[in-house]
Order: sequence, then structure tokens, then C-alpha cells
Amino acid sequence: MSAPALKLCVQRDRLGLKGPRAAEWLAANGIRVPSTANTWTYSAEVLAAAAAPLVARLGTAEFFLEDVVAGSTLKRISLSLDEHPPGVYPVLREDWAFHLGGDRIHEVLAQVCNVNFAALSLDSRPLIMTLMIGVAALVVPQNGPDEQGGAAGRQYRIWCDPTFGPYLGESLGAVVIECGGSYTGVSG
Amino acid sequence: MKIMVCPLNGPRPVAEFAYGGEVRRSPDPNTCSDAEWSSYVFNRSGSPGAKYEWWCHIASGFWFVALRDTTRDVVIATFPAEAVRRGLPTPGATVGPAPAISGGAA
Repeated sequence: MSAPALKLCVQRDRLGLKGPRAAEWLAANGIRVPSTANTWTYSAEVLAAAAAPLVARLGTAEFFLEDVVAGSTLKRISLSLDEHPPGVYPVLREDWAFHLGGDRIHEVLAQVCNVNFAALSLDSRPLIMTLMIGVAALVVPQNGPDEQGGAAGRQYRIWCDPTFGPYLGESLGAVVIECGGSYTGVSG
Repeated sequence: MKIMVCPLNGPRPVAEFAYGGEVRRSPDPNTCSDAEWSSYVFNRSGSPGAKYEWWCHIASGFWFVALRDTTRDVVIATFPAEAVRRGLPTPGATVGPAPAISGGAA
């Protein structure tokens, strides 16, 4: 048994892309993209898949990517965007990112969100865009330890607009602490 | 809790959605009369019935069209925004059971 833990994850490169040719452009740059909207994947099939950037498909032609700590993939492909490829539009993403793991996390989420995360099947790698404590949040449920080094079991990656970050962190953190867990404001 | 079915995100609480007004065709501002244009700008139809409306899923910023019976406050169906370009079916032709919404009062 491990207490629920909420961690702020700041030191990561993020990239948003929109446009009718965004998927094609990502593929040309060696990034594997999810085939359907509202799903996610890792950008490469490697032994340690979690060491590759996370690629989330937010719609038919919209993507959100987050690199691992000290990763270089997004820095590399971002350089190509300076050439203004047609049909590919970069979107500034300065989201606050959180990692929620440990036991009783569904008890935490049930208090802050209307989506029943406990009932989600992770087989298709779903991605959830919902309101959490009134804030629009992007949520990726994952199983097992990831690059965060967390314990095995269900865990959640959560992103939100940076202007709402402190509010979401403090409010979600308060619920986590009420459930016997901890909120760490600084993480990898 | 009232649930609305977003064409992109699936069933979600209606609190996650924002109303964007009735779907209306704009008259051509270059050829229509001042009366027609001012009617388009200032007048709205308040008559109850099945109407196409713009709705936005706030969390994802996804705009779509809902066919809502304003008499019963029941969403009959939802469509992606592209459906407006393709041409929406006549409201009366699709009024029936409510596949896109369930639950009681919001």
C-alpha cells in the first residue's frame, strides 16, 4: 500500500501542433502518432518505451507532445518548424503538468472530477479531456511504473493551462493530503 | 446529472459544455437589405421546438452541433461541426427518441 502522491512535473519540453498535415509531418520526423482521436502513445517502440516522448492526439488534426526529462527529441523536431512546413501550425504549450499515483487515487479523482476513471479500460490508451475542479485538464491514465519511477499500478498524468496551474495544484493537492497523501511541488 | 454526448469526447456531464446559440445561416451582407441584415443581427427565434444549436465542450474546446428539443430540454442528436457544411437534416425528420442525452434535470 502506498499513499496517494501528487507531483508537479516542470522540467520537460512540450509541443503542440495543429493542422491538416501535422500527423504527416510528425511521421516524417520519426514520431509515431496515435491513429484515433483522444488516444495517446509513445513516440517510438523501444524497449523502455516510457523513455520516449508521449504523443497525445487531441482531435483529428491536433497533437500534444511531451518529452522526457532532459529529452532531446522535441528540441530536434522543433527546429524543423522554423521552416514553416505547410499545413502544420505550432501551438505554444506551457502547461502545468502533474503526476498522480498511489493508492486511493480514484477516491481523490471522484472528489474533483465527473469522469469515472476507475471504470476506464486502458487497453486503447485513452486520453481524457475534462473539467477538474472547474479547470480544463488533459488526463492520461497509465499503468505500471513510468519514467517517474512511481510504484506499479494505475497512475495519471494531468496537464492544464499554466494560469490555472497553481489553483489546480493546490486544490488537488489538498484533496490528496486529505486522503493521507502528499503534494510535491517540484519534481523532474 | 444530465449527460450530453460530445461527438469527439463521448458522454460528459452537461456542466462541461457551453451553449453557443442557434445555428443560423447568415444572409449575404453584400446583397441583402438593411432590414434583412438587422433582423439577422438582432432577432432570435424564441419559439419552442427542435433546433440546431452550437455547443462547445469547454475542456477540449471542441465545437459541435446539437439538435435539441427546447420544449422538453432534450438533446436528440449531436453532430460534428462539419455536418453544417454537409447540410443538416431537417429537424422534424430526426425528432424521436433521445440517443444523445440521458438523465434528469441538470
